[in-house]
Amino acid sequence: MFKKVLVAEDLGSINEGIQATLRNLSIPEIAYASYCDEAYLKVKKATLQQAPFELLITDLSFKPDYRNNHLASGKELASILAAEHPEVPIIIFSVDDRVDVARALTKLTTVKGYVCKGRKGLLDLTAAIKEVSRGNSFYSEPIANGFSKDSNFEITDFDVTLLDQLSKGYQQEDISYFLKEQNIRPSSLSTVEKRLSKLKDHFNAKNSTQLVALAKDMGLI
Amino acid sequence: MNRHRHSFLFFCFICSIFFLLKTSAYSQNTKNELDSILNDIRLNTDYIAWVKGIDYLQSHPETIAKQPNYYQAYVYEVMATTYYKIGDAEASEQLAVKSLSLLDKNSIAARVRVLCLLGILQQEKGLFNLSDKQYNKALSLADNTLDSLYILNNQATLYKEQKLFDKAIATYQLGLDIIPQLSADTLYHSTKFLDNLGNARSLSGEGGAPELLKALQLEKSLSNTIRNYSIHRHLVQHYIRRNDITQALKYAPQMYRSSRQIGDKSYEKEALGLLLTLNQTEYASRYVQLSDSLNILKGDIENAYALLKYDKSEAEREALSAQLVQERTLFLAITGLVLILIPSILLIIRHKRKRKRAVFETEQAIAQHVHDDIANNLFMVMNKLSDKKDVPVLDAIDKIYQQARSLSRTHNALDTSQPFLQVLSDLFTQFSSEKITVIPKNTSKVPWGSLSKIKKEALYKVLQELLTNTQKHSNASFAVISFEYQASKVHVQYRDNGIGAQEEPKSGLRYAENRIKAVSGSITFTSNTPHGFQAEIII
Repeated sequence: MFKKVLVAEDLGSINEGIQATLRNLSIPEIAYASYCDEAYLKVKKATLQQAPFELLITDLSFKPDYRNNHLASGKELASILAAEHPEVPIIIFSVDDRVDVARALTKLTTVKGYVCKGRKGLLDLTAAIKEVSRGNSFYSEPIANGFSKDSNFEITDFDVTLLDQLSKGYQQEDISYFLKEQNIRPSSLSTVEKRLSKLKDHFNAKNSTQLVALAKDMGLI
Repeated sequence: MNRHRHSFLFFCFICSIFFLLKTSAYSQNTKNELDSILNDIRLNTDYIAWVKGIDYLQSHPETIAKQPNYYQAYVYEVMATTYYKIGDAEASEQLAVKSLSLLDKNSIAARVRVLCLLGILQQEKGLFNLSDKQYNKALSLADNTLDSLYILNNQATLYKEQKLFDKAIATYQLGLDIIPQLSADTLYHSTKFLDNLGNARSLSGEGGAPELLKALQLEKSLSNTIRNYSIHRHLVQHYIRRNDITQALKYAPQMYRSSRQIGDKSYEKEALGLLLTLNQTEYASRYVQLSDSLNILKGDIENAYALLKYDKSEAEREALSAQLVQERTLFLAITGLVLILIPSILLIIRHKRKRKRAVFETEQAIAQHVHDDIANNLFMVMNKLSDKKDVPVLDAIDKIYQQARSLSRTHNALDTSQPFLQVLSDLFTQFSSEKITVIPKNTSKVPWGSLSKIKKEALYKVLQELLTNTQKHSNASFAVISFEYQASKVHVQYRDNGIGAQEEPKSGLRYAENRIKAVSGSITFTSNTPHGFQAEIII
């Protein structure tokens, strides 16, 4: 388990919750920073004193105030630390549950966890700290869901052709033959099989009949 | 009212009278001025005076143009004659034609004069037929014997030059026939015509001497030096032609005396020339001396005339450069206008863009507040309550938290560091759940790079709004979003299989509409129960 953790969070009351969570995990040394600049300097200082932080937990949004901050958001803080201190793993702790925001951050190698604040937020944070200390990564459910899905899935004109042929009662072999005739590539039987099974999967269709019915309902064919 | 109108009209009348008086007085003045200049030119035999007069007239075309037509014609006629005298046949002809075009049918005398001038000019150019035509025209117009004689004399000279001596002789004889109709100067004209007739006959090779001698007889009572010289010259020439040197030498001394009496050195030079033909060598030195002085005089005229021409072209050049300056000014004005207009338009565009951006920024700021203050505080409250296990309250607060978070998410800034395709895909994945499957179609076919940031942001927010709507209200199990790129526009078909919107568009949809309109796009909604909710966005 981590011995020395830095928490960057500008709301004291939330810090209390995090503090309780960390204490439950028996982490002896916990430091707090209310600004990104402050957090950055603390990480630097600890490393220079040869007592580096073993984990940084940071929020993404910090309210701007009279201070002129160089680093305005948790994202900037994470980016600069990932480059300068790759030895410090980071867990993001934010209200923001957008998958694209999380995806952008987890591209940084040191961001090992993304926890959404919410009803299960502190429980997730506990789980995240445990996983990260073991060298794994952890994402809250909405983010994990997003990551697990093939986000690049989309229907193409090729799929529409397949569905159209299917709706006319053709077998997969016939469709493959039709594609060859029309000089459409790819046209192999295995491609047609794989693609149709993927479509069924995505449409939650039990069989080709239901798939065609759904495609028709949605105006795709 | 009526009285007022009368007095006003009266006032106008008075004004116009004043105006008329003033202008007529003015034209009277200028006419007097022109008159004196024209007289100067006509009566002066000095070349320099001609050149100066012409110069004045050439440089005051507006003054001339203000005069009545007959007077303008007169000015041009004088100018044509003067140009002829200076030796510029081209300019003379142009002005003669101009003058003729201004003369009406009643100005017979003037027309005859100008026609004769044209005849002479064309004769000099060698256009004999044309010249003959002018003389015939003049003859048909001429309404008095004097004019007719003048024309006939010219015409006969023309024939003589063409070596049509029979025609010339006939013409001179016609002249002699009508001389008795003259009321005065019959002697002068008879002498002149006899002289010329004799010369013509001499040239034709038959006779001539009797007419010339008769003319010499008549001249005694006329005592006209020029005529005296002319007759003697013709006699000398006649006897030279006939190889009768003795007879020629008999008339030569008187010819020379007359030529000197005239006072024009060109006559004397001509006489000397003939004397030299008769081998009278004692006249040679005088001939050379005269020839030199005549050449100098000729040079003077040519110089003066060249100066006039130069001044004219200088004036033209000045006019041209004035025009250039005018054009340059116009060019500068237009350039200036463009220079002012373009930045103004750019400023207006920038201002509009700024306003749009301001709307987005305000929105994002509010979203940030919702996120930072409300959502975070609710999270904190939730944390505190979670110890007490008060589930219903916790549930209620969680619901508010979710709402606050969703609100913040809807209005928060878009992460532009990510490729838009990825951002869209993530949006669709996020809304895909156990209950709803979001199916995008041809998302990757759109060249997202060509869409402005502000449009991408609007499209993202609107799709988010539509998906939220489907998720919350439609009970739909599918949402299909098809993209198409046509003529630099993105066409989006949104369709779910839910119950459709029951009433008027919800406020969320109205926001969507405003957003799309703000970036000059369009959005249309169609909704009916069996087919779910549909929207078409063009951006």
